[in-house]
Amino acid sequence: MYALLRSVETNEPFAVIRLSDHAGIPMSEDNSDYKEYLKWLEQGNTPEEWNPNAIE
Amino acid sequence: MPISSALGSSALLPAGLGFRNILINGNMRISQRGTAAVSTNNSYAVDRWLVAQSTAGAWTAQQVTTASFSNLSGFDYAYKFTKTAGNTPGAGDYNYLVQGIEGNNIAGLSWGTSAAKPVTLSFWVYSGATGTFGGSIRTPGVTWWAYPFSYTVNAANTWEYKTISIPGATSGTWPTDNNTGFSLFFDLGSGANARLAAGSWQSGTNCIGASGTSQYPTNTSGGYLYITGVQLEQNTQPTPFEQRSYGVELSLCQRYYYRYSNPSGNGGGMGYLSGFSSTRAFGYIHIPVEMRGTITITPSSCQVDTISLSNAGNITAVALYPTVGNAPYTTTLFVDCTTTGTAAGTLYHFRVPSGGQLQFSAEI
Repeated sequence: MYALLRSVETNEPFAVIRLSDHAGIPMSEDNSDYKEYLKWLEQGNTPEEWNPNAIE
Repeated sequence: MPISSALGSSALLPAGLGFRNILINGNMRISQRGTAAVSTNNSYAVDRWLVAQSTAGAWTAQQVTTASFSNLSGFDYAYKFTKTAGNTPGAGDYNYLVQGIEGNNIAGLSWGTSAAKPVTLSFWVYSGATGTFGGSIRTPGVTWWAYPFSYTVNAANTWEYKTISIPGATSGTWPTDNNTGFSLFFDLGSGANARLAAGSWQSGTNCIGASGTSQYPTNTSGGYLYITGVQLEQNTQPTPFEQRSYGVELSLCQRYYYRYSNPSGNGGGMGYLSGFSSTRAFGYIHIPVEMRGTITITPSSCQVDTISLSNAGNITAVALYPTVGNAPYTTTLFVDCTTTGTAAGTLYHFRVPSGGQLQFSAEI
């Protein structure tokens, strides 16, 4: 499960938060965690919006 | 004394005296994530060495000391794999140990050209059972090129030294940038779909091991295997394991993963943050070495403290913020922290208190 973190300037997503451990994943294809996120999307999943008050 | 006498009879050193080993942490000494056994798919118990298993929890991997072994010298640590329940892997199952090697570190091999240079793999293995085992060297990506290899364990419960010479790959695509150049696999009992005949370069299959080799320890409840002293060098024959200094090896590992923790409870400051809102703060934090690529940051029990050092709230996530000149390959990172207790225009400490940690990953 993942959530999108949005820019305070453009409101566009710039990172993905992995909800299992709150890892902040850059949206870059040289990042192996982002590649896993893309596979998750290909399986038909949809990310949530990140809630900054989520408890670890 | 001639160099060849110092390093072994007839030693050839086409890649030079220093930094012969293309692999990092081949002696399994560095374990920044801790020493607990891992049993989940795609996990690390030892830096740079990923373990994968298609049935999570089927076996455990752990860094162990080698003090109890009498017939191994020069290595204090090994990677141990222990099967918790035996099963026969299906054709599509995979179980392996792998190190992905950054393309920047294989550029000198000229693989994918007619001038491709040979490499030699050497390692120590200790197995609960005899048999023929395998592994492979393989390209990344979809168009696979692989060299499956096999080796024989002649005596159970005895450390044995194995060497495998591999000709340079004259075909295939072998990246020489900061992405994976190739991967070295040790097959720990994969299915037939991931295996090819040993001893030649082949294409077309996501190859992890060699056909017909043992699936031990995966197929044996209580089965176990240890590996250490793994070296891959540009050469036609092995040389003794290159014992690099701890500091050098740690820095090499930190290009891919770095963990900051604060066991003492004092200090733990990572930098200053400027409050943007009640749930966001931005600032710079620093890491010890330039990492391979863009970085995943994972906080655990981190907090924002006021300038007078009282706790103002928790840090619930940390991410590289890309639009403020935040080059991904640097040791100074501009980060966006989501928090539970900040205020716009207020200065805070980013603090990792006792028991907390902050992890940085740019693993391949």
